[in-house]
Amino acid sequence: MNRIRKFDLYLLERFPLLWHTKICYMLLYSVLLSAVFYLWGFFYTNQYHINNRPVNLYFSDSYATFFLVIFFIIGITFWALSYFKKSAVKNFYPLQRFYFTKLFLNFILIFWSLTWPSKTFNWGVNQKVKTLASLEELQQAIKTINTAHAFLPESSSDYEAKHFLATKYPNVEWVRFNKTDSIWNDDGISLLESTRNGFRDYIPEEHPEATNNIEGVTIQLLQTKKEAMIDTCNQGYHTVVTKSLKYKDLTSNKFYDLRNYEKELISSDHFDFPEYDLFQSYWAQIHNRYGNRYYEYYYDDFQSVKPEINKQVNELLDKDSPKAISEVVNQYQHFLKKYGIHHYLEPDTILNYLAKHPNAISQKTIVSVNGWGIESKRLRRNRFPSFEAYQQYRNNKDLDNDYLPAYFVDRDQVKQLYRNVYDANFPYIDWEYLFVILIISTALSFVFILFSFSDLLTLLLAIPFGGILLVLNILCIVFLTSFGIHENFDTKISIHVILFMTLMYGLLFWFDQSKKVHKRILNITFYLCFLLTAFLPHALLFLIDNLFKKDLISSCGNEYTQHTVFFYWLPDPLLSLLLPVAFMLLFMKFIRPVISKAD
Amino acid sequence: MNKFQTKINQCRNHLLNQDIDLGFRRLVDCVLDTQNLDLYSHIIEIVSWYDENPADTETYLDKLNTLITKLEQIEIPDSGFDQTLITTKDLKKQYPRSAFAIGPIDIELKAGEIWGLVGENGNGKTSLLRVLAKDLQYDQGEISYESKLEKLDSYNLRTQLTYIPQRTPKWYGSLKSNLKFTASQYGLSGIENELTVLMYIIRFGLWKFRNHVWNELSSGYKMRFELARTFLRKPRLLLLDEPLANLDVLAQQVVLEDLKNMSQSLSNPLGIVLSSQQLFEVEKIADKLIFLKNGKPIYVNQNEEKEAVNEGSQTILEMDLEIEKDKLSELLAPLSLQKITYNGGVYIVHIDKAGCINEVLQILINQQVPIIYVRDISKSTRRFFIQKQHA
Repeated sequence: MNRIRKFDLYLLERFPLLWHTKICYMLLYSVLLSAVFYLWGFFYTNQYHINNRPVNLYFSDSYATFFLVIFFIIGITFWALSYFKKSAVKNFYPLQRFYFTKLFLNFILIFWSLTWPSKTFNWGVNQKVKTLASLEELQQAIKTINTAHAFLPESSSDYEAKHFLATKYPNVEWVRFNKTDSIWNDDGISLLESTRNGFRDYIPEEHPEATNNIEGVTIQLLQTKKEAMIDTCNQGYHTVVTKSLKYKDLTSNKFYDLRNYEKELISSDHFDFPEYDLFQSYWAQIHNRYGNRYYEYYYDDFQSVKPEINKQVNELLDKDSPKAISEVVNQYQHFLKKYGIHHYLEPDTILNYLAKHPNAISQKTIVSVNGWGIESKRLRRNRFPSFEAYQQYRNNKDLDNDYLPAYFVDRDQVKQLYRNVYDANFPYIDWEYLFVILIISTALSFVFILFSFSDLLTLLLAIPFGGILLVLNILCIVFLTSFGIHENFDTKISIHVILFMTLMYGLLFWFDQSKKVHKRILNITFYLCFLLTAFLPHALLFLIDNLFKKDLISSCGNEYTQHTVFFYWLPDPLLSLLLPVAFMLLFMKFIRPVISKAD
Repeated sequence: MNKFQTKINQCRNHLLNQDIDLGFRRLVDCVLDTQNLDLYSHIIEIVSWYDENPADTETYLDKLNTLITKLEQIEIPDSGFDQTLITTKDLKKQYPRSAFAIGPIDIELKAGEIWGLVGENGNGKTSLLRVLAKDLQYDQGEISYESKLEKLDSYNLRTQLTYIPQRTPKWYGSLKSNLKFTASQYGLSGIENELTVLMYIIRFGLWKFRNHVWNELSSGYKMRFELARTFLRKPRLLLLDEPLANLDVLAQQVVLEDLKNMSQSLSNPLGIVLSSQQLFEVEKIADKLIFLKNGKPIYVNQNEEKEAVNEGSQTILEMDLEIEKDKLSELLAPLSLQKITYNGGVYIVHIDKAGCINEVLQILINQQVPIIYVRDISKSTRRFFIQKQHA
C-alpha cells in the first residue's frame, strides 16, 4: 500500500497527466483482468470443446463476452468518475505541450487495453489446446487417418475409378450418364471439339465410338488439352477434346475399387503455415492478395487430386497383408480414443467383411460420418447374429434411416480438432478485429475528450443540432441528385459534403471572432466541426477522386473508370483510422482558444 | 531598509511581543519571498516539530528566531511593484434584453495593490470581475494587461488571471493532493512540488487539515484552501468574488490580512480585486474602492483619503442609539445638522461640519443617551448604502 502511495505521489509530482488519467491503474486493471481471462480460457477449454467448436467461439460460448462487457463498464465508470473529478482545462491551469494529443492517446490506450482480455482468453485457450493436443503427434497421425478411412467406407463415390484416373491422367475428362443413366451428364463440363471452322461444343451422343461400358456404367473418357482463346477481349482457355480413350487401356482397377481411393480427411499440408511478415499479413487479410487460407484457412480437400493418399492405400493393398491394414485402422482407433473423438468401430469385423465382400464399398455405408442415433443403431445391430447379416439386410433395404450404418466416426470432430490445433499453434494478427477495436476506442476517446473541456448541457444540445443538420444535408443531397445525369451522383455528393464542411468551419471562425455570438452557440459549432473533422480526410479524398477520375472505354468496348490513387486508399482500414485521428489531433489545437474565449 | 528587511523586523517584533501566530505568518511570507527550498524545508521541519511538541513554546520561538537570523543574511530587492497589471478605459458591459449596463469603468491596477469592489446586490460586481478575468465579453472600451500578459494567448492569459467565484466548486480527494495537482500543472515537480505545497498549506493554516477532504472542512477552511490553491498558481491578477461571504468575523479578518500580505509578496507581487459586502473590513485593506451603483462606478482612493466624488466638508455618522429620532434631531441641532435618516435599524446623521464626531459624542454622553455604537462613515463607502427616504 505504501509503495502504491509512493508511486501515486511520484506520478502526481512528475507526470500530472498520467496521474490525472489514471492510465497506470487502468492498465494494471486491464492486465489483471487479462490474466483472469487467460485462466478462464485455459480452464474452460477441454477436449470436448476442442473436438466440437472452433477455438475462436469459446469466448462467446463461455459467456466471457458478457462478463468482459460488465468489467469494461465497471472499469470505465469508476475511471470516468475519478477522471472527471478534476480538470486542468476547466480550471485554466497551464497545459503541457500537446496536452490534448497526449490525453487522446491516453484515452485510446485505456479503452483499447480493456479489450485485451478477449485476446488473453484466446491465449489461454490456445495454451490449453497445445497442452491437450500435440502438434507433432497430430502431424504424424495425418497419414494414418487418411489411409485408415480408405478401409472405413462411407460413400461409394469415394471409390469410383475417376479418382484414380485423375491422379494418373490429369488431362483426361470423365463424362458419364446422369444418376438415372438416361442422358449424358454435362454438369460443370464445358468441352469443345475442333472443326474446320474452329471449335464447337462437344456432344457425347455424337461420339458413340467413345463410349465405354464398365460394370454397367456408361462413360466416356476424353483426353483434352487447354487452348488459349483467340478473342483478346475475352481472355481464357478452352478445354478441347483431342481423342477418346478406352478404360481398359488406362487402368485395370474395377469401377468401384479400394485402389481408387484418394480422399484426404486431413490435408497432408494441413500444418504448413505460410510465413508472412506484418505487412504481408495485413495485406493478405485486408486486401485478400494471399488467398483465404491465411485467415479462413479451412477449405475442402475434396476439390483437389491427392495422388499421395492413393499411393499409400495401394501400397498397403500391394503388400496383401491384412495385418498391416488392421494395424493402420487400429492405430486410427487408438488416436480417436486418445482424443475423445466420438466413434464406434470394430476394425477387425469391418476389415474381415471388406475382405469377404469386395463389392461392399459400392453398397450401403459401413462407417457413417456421425453418431446420430447411436443407441438405436446398437439395438438394431444386436438383433442380428453378425455384422455381415446386418449389412446384408441393410443392402436389401431401401430405407437406410431405419437401419443406419453400424459404425461411425465423427469426421467433423476430427476436422475440428485439426483446425483448432492449427489455430492454436499458428495464431495470427486479426487485423480486422484490431481495427474495429481501435476505431471504437478512438470514437470513445473522442467523446471523452469532448467531456474533458465541455459542460454537459452544451454537449447534449449539440446532438439535436447535429441531427437537424444531418437531416438537412440528406434532404439537400436528395434534392441535388434528383436532377441531372446519374453519373454525376458521387461528384455531387462529394462537392456538397465539402461545401457543407467549409460552411461549418467558416461559421466556427466567424463565431469565434464575433463578440455578439453566445458562447454556447460557438461551443456547439465547435463540437460539430470537431466531429466533422474525423470525416474530412475521406471527404477530401472522395472529392479529389471524383474530380479527377476518368470514364474510359477499353479497346474491347467495355466501359471502365480510371480512378485516382486516392480511390484505393479510401477503404483501407489503416488509413481509415490514421487519417481521421491525425486530422482530429490537428483540430485539437483550436480547443484552447475556443474554451478560453469569454462568454 | 527595503521591504524584505522591514518584513523581517516585523516578524521579530511580533515574536518578541509574544504575538506568535502573527509573527509566524509573517515569517512564512518572508520564507516564501526567498523561494529557497532549503528554507522551505527548514520551516516545514519547525512546523512538524511544533505539531508534535505544542507545549514547548520556548524552543519553538528559538527555532523561529534561528530562521529569522538566516533570513537576515538574505537580500531580496523590491521589484515588480507599481507595475500596472491591468488598465481599463471606458469599459462598458451591456446586458442583452436589459437596460442595465455596467460602466464606463476606468481602472489602473498595479502590482501589490488591492481594489475593493462594493455595491448593492445586482449592481454588476460579479459581472465586472468576470469581465476583468476575461470570462465575460465586454461591449465597449478597452482592457489592456501588462506587457508579459499581453503577449500570451487567451488561454495562457487566463491561467494568470485567477478568478475565484463566490461559490467555489466542490473538489475531490485530499486537500494536499489537490494542491499538489495544481502545483504540478504549474510546472512544480518532485521535491519542489512537495515543499511548495506544504509551504502554502502552512501559510494558510491548513497543516492539520492537509489530509482532509472537502466534506470535512468548514467554509472558512474551504476559502483558505482556495486561496492556497490560487497562490500556488502565482497569479498576476487575483479576482475574488465575495470571498468573505459565509465566513465568520474572525475568519474574515484572517483572510483579509492574508490577502493584504500576499499581495505584497516580493517573489510575486500581485494585484487583487475583491468584491464584498463587508464594507468596513474591505476598506481596511483596500488601496482603492469602486462603489457600483446601478452599474455606474464611484471611485474612492483610500490611500490618498481623497474622494473622487466631491461631497463637501460633511461629517456622516452611523449611530445605533436608544433614542427617538425627534429627540436626536433636537440634541444635534446646534451642530449644523443637515438630516437624519433611519437606515436599516441605525441612524445616519449628516452634519454640515467636518470631523465633528467628538462633539456629537460629547453631546450624547452629556445627555446620557445609551450608545450602542457610533461610526464615522464620512469617508467610507458605507455612505453610499443609504436608502432614500420616502415621504
